[in-house]
Amino acid sequence: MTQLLPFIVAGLATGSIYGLAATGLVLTYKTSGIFNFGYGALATIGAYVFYALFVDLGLDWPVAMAIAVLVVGPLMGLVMEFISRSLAPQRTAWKVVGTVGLILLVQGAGTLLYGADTLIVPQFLPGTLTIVQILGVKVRLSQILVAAAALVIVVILYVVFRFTRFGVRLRAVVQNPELTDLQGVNPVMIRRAAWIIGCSFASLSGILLLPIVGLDPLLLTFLIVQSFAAAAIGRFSSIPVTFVGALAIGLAESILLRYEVALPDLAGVSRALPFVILILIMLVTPRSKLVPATVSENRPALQWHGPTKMRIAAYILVVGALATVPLWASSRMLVPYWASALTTTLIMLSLGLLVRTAGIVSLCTAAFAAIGAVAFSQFAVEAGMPWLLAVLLAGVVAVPIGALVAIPAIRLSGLFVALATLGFGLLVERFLYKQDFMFGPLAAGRAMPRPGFALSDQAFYYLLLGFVVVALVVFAAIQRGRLGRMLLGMSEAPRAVTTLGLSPRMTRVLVFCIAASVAAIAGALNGAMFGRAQATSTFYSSFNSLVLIVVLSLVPFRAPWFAILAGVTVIVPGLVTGESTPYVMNILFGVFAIMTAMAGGPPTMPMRLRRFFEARFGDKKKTGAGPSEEPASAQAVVTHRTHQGAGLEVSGLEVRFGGLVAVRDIDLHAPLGQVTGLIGPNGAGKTTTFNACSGLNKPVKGTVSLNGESLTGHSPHQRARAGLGRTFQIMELCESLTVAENVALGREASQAGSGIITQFFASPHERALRSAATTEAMRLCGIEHLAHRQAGSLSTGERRLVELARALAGPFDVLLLDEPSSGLDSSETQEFAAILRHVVKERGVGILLVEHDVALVLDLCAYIYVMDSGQMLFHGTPADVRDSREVQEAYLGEQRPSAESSQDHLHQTTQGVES
Amino acid sequence: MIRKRKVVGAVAAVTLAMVLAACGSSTGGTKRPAGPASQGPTPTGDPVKIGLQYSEVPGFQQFAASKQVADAWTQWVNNEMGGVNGHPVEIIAINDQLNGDTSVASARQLVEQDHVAAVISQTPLSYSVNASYFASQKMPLIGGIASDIDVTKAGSNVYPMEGTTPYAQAAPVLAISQSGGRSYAVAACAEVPSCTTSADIMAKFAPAGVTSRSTVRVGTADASYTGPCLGLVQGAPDAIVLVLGGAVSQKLVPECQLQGFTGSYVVQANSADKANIDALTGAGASVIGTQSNFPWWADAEPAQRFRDVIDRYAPDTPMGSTATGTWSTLELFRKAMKAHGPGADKAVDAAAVRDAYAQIKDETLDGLLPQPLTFGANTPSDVTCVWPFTVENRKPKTLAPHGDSGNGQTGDLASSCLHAN
Repeated sequence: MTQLLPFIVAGLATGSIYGLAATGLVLTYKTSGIFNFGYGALATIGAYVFYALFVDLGLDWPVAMAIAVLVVGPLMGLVMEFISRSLAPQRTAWKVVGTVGLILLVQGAGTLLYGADTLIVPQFLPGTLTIVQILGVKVRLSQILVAAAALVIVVILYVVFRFTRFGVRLRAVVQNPELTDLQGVNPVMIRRAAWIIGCSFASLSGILLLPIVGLDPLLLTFLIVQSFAAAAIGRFSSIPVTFVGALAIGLAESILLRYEVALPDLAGVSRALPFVILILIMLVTPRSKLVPATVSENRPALQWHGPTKMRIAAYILVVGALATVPLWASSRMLVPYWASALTTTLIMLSLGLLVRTAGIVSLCTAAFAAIGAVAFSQFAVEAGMPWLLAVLLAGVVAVPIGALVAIPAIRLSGLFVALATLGFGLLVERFLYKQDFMFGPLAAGRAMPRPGFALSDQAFYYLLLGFVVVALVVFAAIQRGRLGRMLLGMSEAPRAVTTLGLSPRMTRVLVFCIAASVAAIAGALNGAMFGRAQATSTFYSSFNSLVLIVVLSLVPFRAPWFAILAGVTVIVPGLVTGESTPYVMNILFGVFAIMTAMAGGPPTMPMRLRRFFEARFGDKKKTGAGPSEEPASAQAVVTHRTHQGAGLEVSGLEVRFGGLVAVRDIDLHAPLGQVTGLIGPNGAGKTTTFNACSGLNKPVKGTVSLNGESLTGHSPHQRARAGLGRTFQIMELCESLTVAENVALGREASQAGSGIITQFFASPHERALRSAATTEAMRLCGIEHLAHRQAGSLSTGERRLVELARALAGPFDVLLLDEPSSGLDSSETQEFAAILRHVVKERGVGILLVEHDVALVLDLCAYIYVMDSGQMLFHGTPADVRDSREVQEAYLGEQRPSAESSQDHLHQTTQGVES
Repeated sequence: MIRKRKVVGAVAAVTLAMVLAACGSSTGGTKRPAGPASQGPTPTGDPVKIGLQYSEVPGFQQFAASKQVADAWTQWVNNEMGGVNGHPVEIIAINDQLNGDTSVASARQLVEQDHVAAVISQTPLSYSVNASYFASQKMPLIGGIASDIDVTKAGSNVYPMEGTTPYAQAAPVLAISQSGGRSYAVAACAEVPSCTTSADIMAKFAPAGVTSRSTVRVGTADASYTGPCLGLVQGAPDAIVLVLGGAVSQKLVPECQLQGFTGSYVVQANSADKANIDALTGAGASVIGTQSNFPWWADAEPAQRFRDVIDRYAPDTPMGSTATGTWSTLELFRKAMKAHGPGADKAVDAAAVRDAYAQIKDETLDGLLPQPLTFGANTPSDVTCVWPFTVENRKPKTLAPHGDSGNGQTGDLASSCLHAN
């Protein structure tokens, strides 16, 4: 034990530095809702400013520190507030890209100004020369002061957030700036103050760390990445827990290092520890604790889908142009630049499938590429397999790795998937890359041969082009096929597709497997281009995973064009060969990444151009419905269920959110063959009840059954396949899919289900069934004329009808409709009522209807439940409800003018309906 | 309209940035070269082209030394020595910026566009990513960084002149044993697997009685070096071998000093340059190490000539193994061409260089080479010798070999050789 004591002291010193970094990270996340991957870049800016003032200009260190922290820090804060204002409502991918853009910007600028090597900064903190001995370890007094400063700052921040009005306002602005504004608190001023504090703190951290770690453009970024685990321990919200977590990590690292010295087989474990902890926390923390800081996100901009003829012509042109490259490109450009453009295209297709189609932000693509390269070398060189087989097997090896990485993606979303995948990528890099079985023991790395039939640069280029063409075809098939639609659904309307019958787990596993496999093949081909694969190669570095996602964000166009365009950017350094080129490019990438992220994505095709292309190459007017384009007179007949059974039965339902009881003792019955109403004031718990029925939240008590079969414990997709469908109060449509494709999801999601094959392929019978169900549902809702419009271009009323049609296309016995007429005008409401009556009568389904249009409910429903404050207030026939004093009081409140006038109001409402 | 202006502005900014980037110049020195000492015969005819791949990244100045030395040597040879076999010499130097793509592109440019007669690869990257290409083109790779070269797998176009694998990695044990040390610990960089492999290799070559106490990985982005130093010093080694870059060494050493280490720090290869040695000794550390190429401080005439030329033509050159290695490579080339190359009326191409080098036998360049080098027509031989040194009163001094020197020299040019256990 005494041998451990010095390492314990050393570990606490390290941990305090992690704590300083992690505290700043959590501070900015709490106050902005943005997890700032570029926090280290902000600290680096402060450090560079201090260096310029203290070392270059010779100012006293307190003056230099004061300027860097109190002047430059606030200026950075104002800039960051401006950026974050636009970033905060964007989707996770854009928030990640925007903050990663900061890293590139600072890396490029810092290298240009001060070089890439680490600058050793003269000690300036007081107490540097004073040595203190603690438990056998000599520590500089300045290190103790840094640790003490970190502790004091943590205490101050904790007190501010917990006990001051300012702290409450800071948190409120993140959650709901509009509401805060209504309370008379200016959210912009609060946010600015928060960013000023955060950036000043970042600047201070960078300066305090200077004498310990030195100064270079990326050092602090890498250091702070190691602190992500500490932030995760604090669940990205508790500053004191984050700090304690950081100390624990520092301690654990140091103790492990002690054992690594004695047991060489453990080498590298201490370095991998922060990332192991990060991944574990992402896996075990209850989902309810990992709540994103901001819940609402902007809808993605609609990408234009060009006419088929145009796309085919473009494919031929682009592939043809790429095929001519060896004829005119110089030898120094062909390999590596043009060849790298092709391998980059492959890896971009892989990443694009995850990020752009499935909406999953993955930051470990480079690790898949590395695994593929190593596997290929082992198969081709050590096992002597044929070259092509070795490449394909390298792709296969990555499949289970992809499935493994999908595990956090199954239970997490958004930022937390990004962090988990980043942790995985860093873990692989810091631990696995160093093992002999990966890149070998020598700096030369692994031999990566070319095939005998493509040894020359030209031949190898054509081989790569062949791989790209095959990949383009495969990815086009995926995008246009069932899996592509399910992925888009999962990205744009995740709750909807789950409640329509799709198992998102299987979908996520599949997409990760495909992405990992293609990235692995890209990694193998890239290595074969160079002839070697090394651990230090940029292509396999975790930093490259960040660069790839930034580049992916900048390029416009849909798949696969964004991948080809992203690939072609790789040739730029070959064309512009100045020594500053890489750094200038990083600066430009960084700036454009931030701008693009603030705008929520690259610009879409201008309208004028769209009209031009559609006029020239437009497809003939389509008559079919559904993605299969089968004619409306589909061969299959949509057979709806036999609709026998008790319908939906809810008994004793209780749902809690933390200490708050949202609904209690809810009993209701929505039988088949009738419309049952569920009404109540705002906040009564109607949607919560719906969510409990469809499995989107877990009740504490009670049962839910459908046609006598208990649904308790079933997942949402299982409930959907059992026959329970729904719509949403806040509509969940796939904006980029057409109306027909959205409606088809109602049937197709349950067809896809949870099977591997069914997620990819639809049988001819399934296709026909889907098409027929879609046609029928669109006809019922009167939206056939909208079939080929993108859902994102519709009005609110039209979107409501599409969502209803989607529910009607599905094989459901009971439909939960949550305010489906919201946004419809009076005539549309009448038509809507007629649809429901028809559906109930013809199909025998049961409907449980939540509506604020009381007249509609009284007219349509055979039975009505009334909720208030989370409990069942009343239930009965429409006449009973109309006459109920309790219902009147609940709707009109206690301070109604008079009992007679409230009754008059209700009567007038119903008389309007009756007449 | 406003949006259009923004787009135009963005495009203009990008274009300007690209132009500035293309015009970006490398960092240069501040001292003015003095010029030639005397004027030799003017070389005529087609220039002899030599390709040089080097790495100059802002902040990593030691790699830039090869270009500066090459430029100085070229001016000296053309101005004062009548060229090579009467031909003027042209060195086409390409900075790969430690970037794999640039390195690969530069290899092809040198071979297929510039049609150089030989290539010097003074960059950590080039050999590993370009070896198979140069072999397929039969392009002579003369000198350069050889620590990645495994002679059992290298092509016959490779002519290493400094320590090859595994001798380059094992070299520090010579400095330890010749300075009287009996034990050592290794601080290995955490980012590159070969750093830790070096520790295993050292153990295989350590002379009898010299033992390894521990190997600790040290990262560039470590928050603290206290833990690694505790791991290094706890076995009370006589020396800590720094298999690290210069900047990390300069952060680690003061911490290990603080934790009570009083032994020597062993530097090697590119971290054994003058700037790093000065920084470490300035921090109070006792430094020993090995030079893969002749010591720049040697008083012997060939080394003095080197310093004279550098002082005259490139006085800002950072001194270290990269600088001296480039010099000895070029001097061997000049001597080989003079002795075995084509006459002044014939062009010097890759084939001529291969022919000339195939006739080099037991050459030491008067002590500038670590051992007598013989290049036959087959795969190259290992280079197993280095120059161990110590630093006294902040001045480096070559450690005398145990037994005969590798290159038959005495004094500062005497090399020492490794033998596997």
